[in-house]
Amino acid sequence: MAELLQFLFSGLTVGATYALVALGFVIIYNASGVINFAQGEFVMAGGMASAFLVAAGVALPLAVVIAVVAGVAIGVALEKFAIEPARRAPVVTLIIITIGASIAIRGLAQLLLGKQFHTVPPFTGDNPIVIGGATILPQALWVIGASIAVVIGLGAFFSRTRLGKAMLATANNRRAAQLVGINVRFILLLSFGLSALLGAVAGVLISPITLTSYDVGIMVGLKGFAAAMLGGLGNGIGAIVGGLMLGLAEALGAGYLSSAYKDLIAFVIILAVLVFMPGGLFGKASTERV
Amino acid sequence: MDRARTLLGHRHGGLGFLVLLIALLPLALPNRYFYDIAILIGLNAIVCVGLNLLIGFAGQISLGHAGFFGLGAYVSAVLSTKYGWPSTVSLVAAAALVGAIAFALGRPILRLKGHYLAMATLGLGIIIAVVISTEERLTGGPDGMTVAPLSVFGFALQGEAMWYWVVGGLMLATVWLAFNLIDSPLGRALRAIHGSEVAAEAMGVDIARAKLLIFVVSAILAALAGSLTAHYGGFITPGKVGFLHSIELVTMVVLGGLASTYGAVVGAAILTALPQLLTVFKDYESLVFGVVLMATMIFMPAGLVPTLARIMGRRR
Amino acid sequence: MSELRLDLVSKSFGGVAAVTAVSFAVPTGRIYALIGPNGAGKTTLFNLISGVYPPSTGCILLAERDVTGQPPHTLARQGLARTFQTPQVFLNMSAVENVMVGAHRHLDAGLLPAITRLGRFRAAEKACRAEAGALMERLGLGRYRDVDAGALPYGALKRLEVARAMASRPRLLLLDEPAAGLNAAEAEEMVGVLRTVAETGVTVLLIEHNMRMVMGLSERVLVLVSGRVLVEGTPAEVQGHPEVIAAYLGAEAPPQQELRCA
Repeated sequence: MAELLQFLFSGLTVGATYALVALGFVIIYNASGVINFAQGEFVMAGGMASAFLVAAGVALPLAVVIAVVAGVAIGVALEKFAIEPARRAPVVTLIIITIGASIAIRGLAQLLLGKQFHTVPPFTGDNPIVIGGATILPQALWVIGASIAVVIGLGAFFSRTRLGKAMLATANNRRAAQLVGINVRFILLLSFGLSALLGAVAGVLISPITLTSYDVGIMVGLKGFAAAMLGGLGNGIGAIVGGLMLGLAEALGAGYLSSAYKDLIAFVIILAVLVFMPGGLFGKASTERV
Repeated sequence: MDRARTLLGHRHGGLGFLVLLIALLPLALPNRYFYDIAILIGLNAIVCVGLNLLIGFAGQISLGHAGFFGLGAYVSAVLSTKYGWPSTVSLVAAAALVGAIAFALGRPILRLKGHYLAMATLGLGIIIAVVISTEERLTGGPDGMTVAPLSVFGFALQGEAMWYWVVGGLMLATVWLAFNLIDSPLGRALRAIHGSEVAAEAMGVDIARAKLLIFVVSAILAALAGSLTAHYGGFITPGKVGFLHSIELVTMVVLGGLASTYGAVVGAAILTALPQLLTVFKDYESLVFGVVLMATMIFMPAGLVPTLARIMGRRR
Repeated sequence: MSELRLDLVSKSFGGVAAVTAVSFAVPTGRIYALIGPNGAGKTTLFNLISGVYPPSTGCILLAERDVTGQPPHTLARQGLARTFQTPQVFLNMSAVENVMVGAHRHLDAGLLPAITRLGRFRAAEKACRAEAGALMERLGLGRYRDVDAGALPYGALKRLEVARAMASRPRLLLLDEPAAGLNAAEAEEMVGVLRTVAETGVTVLLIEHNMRMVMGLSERVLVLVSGRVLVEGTPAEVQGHPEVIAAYLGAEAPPQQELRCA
């Protein structure tokens, strides 16, 4: 029982990270139809920036904030300089552009900070807390708690602010949104900034636990993508549930089945779901009208 | 305005040019290092031409083709090096195994479309990569394994010069094969599927069969190229099996120009040679690569060959 | 002998009945029209007949053989061809290649023949291309032969779809609003095309709103309203039928008024 609880804790922690990354995918996809393969790099940027700043002597709270801002800046720059100039290109081209961006961002990180692992101190110490026979790091509580706060904030943003509703409108029907006077190009910029925010936050939260390096973004990005697909791509709640489920499945699988094949679990699940439930867990199969 | 001719690139003229290029290139290559790059370009081109048939012509997507490439490489490597099978038999067996896997998994996967198909192929590729990387006893794990050289009828293929002609010939054969396929009822059926699945079906095209066929063909081509790469290099690591290599392959195809066989070759050439040129930049390599990639796709979204063809068409 | 027969065919989409208990028979070699207000279920019926989805209940018979539930490509191989309300032309190919795809069921789509390209294969390809070109000439599309399909004007696209459908030498041709989106001149061209088609003896089932075309071309007309058959008969019978007039013009229309073509 204690063992199960242990796996549940680690599953929720990493699942929260996947959920944030998946949300980022969904926000950009809804606004533009593009799958942003640089999503994982926002996570990496958040973690690496905070590691760098702390090592340079900046106080942790300030470092975290600056790191998140840096992540958002990268996201906005990506949209402004790489996506917007190519906005009329076919989707495949845009995907390749985001791939190029992810390679470039990784290259920049490697250039500035080398290939080694970096550490970030945990927010409130690293004495494990015992709950029900299982231990959980205080940082893990930060991950889960802050993720919940972010998701609630995001929900409030979309349902209560004018800008948030404008984003939802654009995602639903771009042309109609333009016609009612919504600045669609700004919305696209905002969606990239928001996704980057989510990714960077996930990065600063998780790096005290998992360490960070220039290429952590790759796997995190792919698994976040899988989580978003699991949730039906295009559905925010689905993305969150997908992320949590994937995290839990990974932790339980690694614990009870095989830890060597941990990275496989997410992809076996998504492959199985795609083959047997093509619309994801929450998506609907749509029919083409001819 | 004849797009068919432009895309096919003046079929016989282009093929002739390619033959000439391959025949005369050795005169321009100063040393073995450049032969090596040319061989790698040829091997990547084989994969890309096959992948282009799937992505550019049939309108599907695969983000996991490095999995087929790597599986071809490792199966042939393991069979020939660890079990002592004759290398040519290993090569064929590897291709057959990959073909069988592509056939079995292709059926359910190809029912998916767009991002879902992309994710499914991505997942498949990663699963193959992780398995290969984890089964260390068999594959040597992340450190890789040595591979026996390829010997045809007892004659060992070694050295860049020999491999250059073998790979050159095989690449030509693949390009020729692709052109024949495109300009045939099957080829038109595939392009019709890309154009409008509903209409293609209404014309009698068995869509599931056609998609599966081209998926398997492209997988087998990737596997063959993978096996050859393994035997040529004498060494193979899981790096060539992973997601990043899959993305690299798709990028080569898109960069060169979708639905352009010559584009696939050009894309393979550029993205194989570019990192070699960029090693000059050392630490800046990835950064420059990424920026060059972005810039090319922003300013030439249709890919290189179609964009150049259009520019040259306008000048006439 | 009917080329096509529907027996009490119904189709519901998640509780919404699109088509209910529709029965009719199209005699071989005739031109049969399907008319009705928008949303009457005409395209649904076409999709049912061409196998896009199976009926909820009822049978569909092609040349007196039960083909209910068979997929489109199987039906195509049995001699059914169709065009679409919005042209589903293959924009990534040239016009003649589009028409060549129409002949798919007569060609060998194997991988090996394509690669080996033996003499017989090459001859078949050449013949296919020539036939497609001739078909295009007959339908007034000769000058677009090697042009990118995407560059064709709309009227030519509609005719191209008909050429593509005819390339399969069908027994039954379904035309979904061939005159939709065409101006008067283009519609006249289309009428000419359809007369040429009819002369080949193929059975035609036609959905159309352009009454002039319907009444001028067809031998029998079926009126579909809200998914049900309202009336079936010759163009003259249908034109003067009070319920038909009411369905199109509203119940307040005076009964003496005939349905004039626009």
